[in-house]
Amino acid sequence: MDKNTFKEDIFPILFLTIVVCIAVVALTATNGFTEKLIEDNKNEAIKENLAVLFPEMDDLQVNETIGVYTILKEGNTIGYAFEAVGQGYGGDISIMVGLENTSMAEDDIIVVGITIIDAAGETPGLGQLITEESFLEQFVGVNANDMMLSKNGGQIDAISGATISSSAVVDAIHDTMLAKAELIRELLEGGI
Amino acid sequence: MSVIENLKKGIMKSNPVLVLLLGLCPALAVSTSLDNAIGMTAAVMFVLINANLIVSIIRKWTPDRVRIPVFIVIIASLVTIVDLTIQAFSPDLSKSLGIFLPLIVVNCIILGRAEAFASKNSITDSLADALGMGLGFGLALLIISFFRQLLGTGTLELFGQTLLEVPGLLDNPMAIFILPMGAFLVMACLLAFLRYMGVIANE
Repeated sequence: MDKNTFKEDIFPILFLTIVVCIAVVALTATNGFTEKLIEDNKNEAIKENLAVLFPEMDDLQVNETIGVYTILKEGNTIGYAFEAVGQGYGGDISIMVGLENTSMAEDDIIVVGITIIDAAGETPGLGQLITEESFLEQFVGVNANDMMLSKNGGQIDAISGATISSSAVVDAIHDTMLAKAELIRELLEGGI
Repeated sequence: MSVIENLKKGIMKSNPVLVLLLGLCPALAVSTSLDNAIGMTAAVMFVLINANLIVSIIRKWTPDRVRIPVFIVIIASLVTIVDLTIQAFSPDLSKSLGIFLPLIVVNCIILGRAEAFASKNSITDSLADALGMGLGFGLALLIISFFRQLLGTGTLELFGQTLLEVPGLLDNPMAIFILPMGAFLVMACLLAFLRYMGVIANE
């Protein structure tokens, strides 16, 4: 192999390979260092949201297979919570929904309250108004059957100028609460 | 050019956002509040300074044929490091910068400076260039977000502290300035004003 081939063809390949190897090492190190912190942040955020919905909560049980948190107080179930994700105006909106501890029959699914976990993609001053208390408090005590915008016959008033964000929240909660209620029912009957 | 000149040119004469019109996507998208502008600037500066430093150090060995892939690998790694670090230590900032944080990878200021400057100049000059460009980017973002936040929400907040409130605007904010369209309006007015004042030289 003459010197030219090495300089022209092989060295560039070697050089790029070395650069990539160094990058992999640096990224693995960073990931190892931050992974636990990021995980902790997420769990912390979930706990904070749950504490808002269930102030009297003293323990928490995570059912990972069905994606439901069982909220406990002195060992008794006081409610359930889960995350609902809706397609908003500028990305996903994720919502923490709390349910009362009911029979979970289709006409007996009642919302304790909701908090918005992430609505960063929504427009500030319009879509992000879904994080305001005046919008969120409408959801307290609402039955699954009434979980619709008022123009569709439900109980929730949309924010004017932010219909997409409002209906994304309502639809996501409506669909997810029905699905989760069924799973909770199966869980209680020992099906899962 | 001296180190000082290299530093100064990024802030005024060839400000990346206001004169070169590079990196407009993040500049327009995250300039809705002063907090976002500062967070974005810090992230871009970290990447820009380190990218220029590394590219300048390895410039004598980097083969011409693979230089762009090499730069991209370096930049993408630095951005991922910043992204993970912000997620770990400031989840709120990470949320509000959203997708625009990982998108620093494709910010043309960074690849542009690596290719046009750091790959041909000494380490000191490259660092000065990166610092100047970073400050210029930050300055532009701060000016744009100042107007957008003030007009669009009626208040000026910095790290949770209210700096300024405009009573009339507070009740009826001009929400259009927070929307993407407002970014273009502010940017256009700013460029026209700077040109009129002669701060930016006409071509």
